Amino acid sequence: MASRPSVATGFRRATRFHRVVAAVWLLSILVFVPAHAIVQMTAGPARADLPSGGLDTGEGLVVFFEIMRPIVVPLVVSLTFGCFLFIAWWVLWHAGAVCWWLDPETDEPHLAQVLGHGLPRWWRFARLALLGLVLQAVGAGAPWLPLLTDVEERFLLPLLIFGCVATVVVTLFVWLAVVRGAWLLGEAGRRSALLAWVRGLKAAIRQPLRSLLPVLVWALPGLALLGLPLVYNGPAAMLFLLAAWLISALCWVAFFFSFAPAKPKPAPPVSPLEPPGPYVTTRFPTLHRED
Amino acid sequence: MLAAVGLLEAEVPPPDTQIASYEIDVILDPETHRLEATQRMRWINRTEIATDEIYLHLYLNAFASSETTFMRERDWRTPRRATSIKRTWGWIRVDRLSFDDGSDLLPAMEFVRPDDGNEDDFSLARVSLPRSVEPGGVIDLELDFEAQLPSVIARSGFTGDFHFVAQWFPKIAVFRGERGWNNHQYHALSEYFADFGSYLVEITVPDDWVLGATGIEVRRSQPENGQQTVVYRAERVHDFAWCTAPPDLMEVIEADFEPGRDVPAAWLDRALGLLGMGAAELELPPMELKLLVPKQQRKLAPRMLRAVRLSVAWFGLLYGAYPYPQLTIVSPPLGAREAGGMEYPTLFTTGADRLDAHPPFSMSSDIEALTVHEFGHQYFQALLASNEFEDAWLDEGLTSYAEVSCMTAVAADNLVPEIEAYDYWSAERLLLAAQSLPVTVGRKAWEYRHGAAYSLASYTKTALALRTLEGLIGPEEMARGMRTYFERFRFRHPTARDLVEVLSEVADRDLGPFFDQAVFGDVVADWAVLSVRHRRPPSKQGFAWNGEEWHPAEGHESADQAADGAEWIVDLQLARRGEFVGPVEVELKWSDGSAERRTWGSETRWVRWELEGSSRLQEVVIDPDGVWALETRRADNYWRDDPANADHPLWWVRGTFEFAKYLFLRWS
Repeated sequence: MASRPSVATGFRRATRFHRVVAAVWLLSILVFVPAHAIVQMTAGPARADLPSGGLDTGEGLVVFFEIMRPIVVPLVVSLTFGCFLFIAWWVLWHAGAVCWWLDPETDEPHLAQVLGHGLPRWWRFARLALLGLVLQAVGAGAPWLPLLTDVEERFLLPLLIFGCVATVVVTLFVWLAVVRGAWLLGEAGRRSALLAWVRGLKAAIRQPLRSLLPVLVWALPGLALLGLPLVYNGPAAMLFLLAAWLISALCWVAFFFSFAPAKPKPAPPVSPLEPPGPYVTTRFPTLHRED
Repeated sequence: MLAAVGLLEAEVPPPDTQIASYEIDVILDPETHRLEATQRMRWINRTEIATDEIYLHLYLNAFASSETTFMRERDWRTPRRATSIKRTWGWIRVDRLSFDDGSDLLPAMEFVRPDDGNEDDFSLARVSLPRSVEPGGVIDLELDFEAQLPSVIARSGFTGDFHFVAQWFPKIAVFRGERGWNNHQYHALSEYFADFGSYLVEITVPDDWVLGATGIEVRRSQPENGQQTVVYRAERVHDFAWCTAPPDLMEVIEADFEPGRDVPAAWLDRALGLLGMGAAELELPPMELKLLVPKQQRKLAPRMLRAVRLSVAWFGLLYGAYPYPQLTIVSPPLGAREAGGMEYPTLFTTGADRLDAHPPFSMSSDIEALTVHEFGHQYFQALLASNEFEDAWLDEGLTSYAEVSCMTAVAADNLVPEIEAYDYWSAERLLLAAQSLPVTVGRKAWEYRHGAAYSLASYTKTALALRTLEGLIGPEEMARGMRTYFERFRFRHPTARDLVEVLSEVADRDLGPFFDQAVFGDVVADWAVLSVRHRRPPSKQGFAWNGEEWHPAEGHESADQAADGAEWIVDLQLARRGEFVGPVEVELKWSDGSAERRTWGSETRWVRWELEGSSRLQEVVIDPDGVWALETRRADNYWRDDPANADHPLWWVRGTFEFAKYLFLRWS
């Protein structure tokens, strides 16, 4: 069942899930700490001796190449490992958030409880994420293929524009379908990531504006806040970086919860005085409960 | 054009530079891509030694099979396996060869393989002459030949209907007197070496096809039987190449270079300052430009022409006016890229991709850099005809030096607004820095390990060596030296020794040791700050001599007092980690804001300086101006007292983005 996305609701739920926000923020950083540590331990001392005013761009490139070259392999390995952990972690908290949210018996979102809900269904959600990655690669790459052929000059610019637009649109809808599909995948009885993705895509297409609003309000700022600290180099850059990424984590959790359906209410308690029901009558005058 | 011809007459070279002249009538069959030609050659022995033989380069035979020397080397030394490509093989066959007395020389012609003895190689032939050619003697030869063009490979051949006809006729090798004939086969990594002379070439192609060639067009026949014949004349050149294609594939754009319009004022001022010459001496003549460009690259034609005009201005101002009245530029179409980026007298090929017309690819300066480089060969290959078989760096390295200097000026003056310029010299340094082995320059082209090693030595390292030299002797001396070298040796065959002697003469110092290390040797330039230690001046102890007697030394100030006096003794140790010996500047910055520079000759492996100052030493930088472009290990050139820096916490992520951007701009 497709829900109606809501930006405000997404924010409210994100604040309710503040422990998840903190965990998303912290663990997403932690998975890249080994790579950062490798760089700091090996190349950091050489950097420490560089002039306080910085180097010219050209000299900076030469020095950067020199100090990074010996650690390229361990750095790439640790970054790749970090990326795997990052994806695994994001799949886990998505799965946990969905399953916890759709479980009518849950009440207060404790982190362990949320993750405990996600862990058994991690692989199901991971399949959905992998599907998204594959579709992204194929969908965003395909529009550029005509450029590899001997296409006429007059078609070149239209093809370039088409390629750019198609890449953005494909990226948008692939991941909207993944997010919306994730909420559908949490419903009882759903196991197929592909079907969930297709249903998610249908939902995104049926409600394009409502689907795009969380992208504009939460996903794009979340993305910008990831990159902003790389540009800013003022005082207390580290604090700024941590703060910006914390807000970014909040944005991403709010974005995800913008697509969540209303939380199911727990079933009313059954009175011991009332007979269990419903009942069906058979042609035999015997009453039995339907399982 | 008449004015231009007048220029030609005004700058008649010394007569001893005219050695090998050709008259060729050639017909192209566009269906079979074959050439049928009659060729008359005159060769003058300008040396002091008589000879009874001549050598002919038959370059097209390098593409005759997978077993030729060219193909074998190309297979092993370049990443692209030549034999794995489906291709039309090329060859050349001499059908008739007669001497000036009418005798048949064909039986006296034999193929020789002096470089590798490869019996499958037919790119060099020796002809025994019936009589000896004495010093000053002249011989005339006449021959008929047929040639099959290959599918485009190593600059020449055809793709579809596009034909780039280069290295296509039997060409006399260079006779060097006592050193004999420069008789080398055609190698995968080698270019050419030939004598200057006059060319009169009559080319017959389909009547509506566009045509571009070395020299200037002097006659065009009326179309007959669907064919046209165009006659080109070229004086004082050492090669002849031409290009033809149907009009629906390529078009010709006629343009010109007008100095009043095309010479940037800032460049003129710079040249005046560097060379110390008058404006009248730096005046450049106008010239005609002819661009053959595929219709698919039509949008890029203005960029190519602007790059040519900037090149004409840069090289003309710094090295001397371009002496020919016309320049032809060819941009090969898709599928003929191997014809791109090559130079011939008064004609060169540039190159572009269709995407270069659109962002973000249009931000790359590839078109400009390639065009400037290939035009540069008009000076360092077409006019200074050094031996590219044996001293490729004299052409490629000097051209690269001039190209990168020009592109740096283009970027500094923002003359091509649409490109995103980068530090072109650092790009060269990065190429050298990426090498794991020291690079040797002075080798024969085919002796390098592979194409990248050849390119790195002949282009990159030589350019960086010259850039370093410019920093050491000063830009003015360098500019004057290069101009003198050009003026003294144009239309001749300068050698490495000539270059070193001229630069030494102008700089008024012996630059031999520098070239021995930078070019002819493979030593590495690398200096480092080894250590810096601060200490307080020690208290005096024991006895002091006052001139008459020893007396107990007065106790020095306490440590606190010394601190108040803020006196420091700094022990600074510098090391020469590479083998390259040369002077290097060291900048010392003190915490009170003062700075000083010292020069270390680096004759020894290390040096220890004891410095005294009223404040702590704050920073040390070896080679602060980046004079030593050859030094690629630079991180240890710096030292700083306070390592707590204001670096971005994720400096390496930012650096990676910067590096990726550079890679895109460089290689897109």
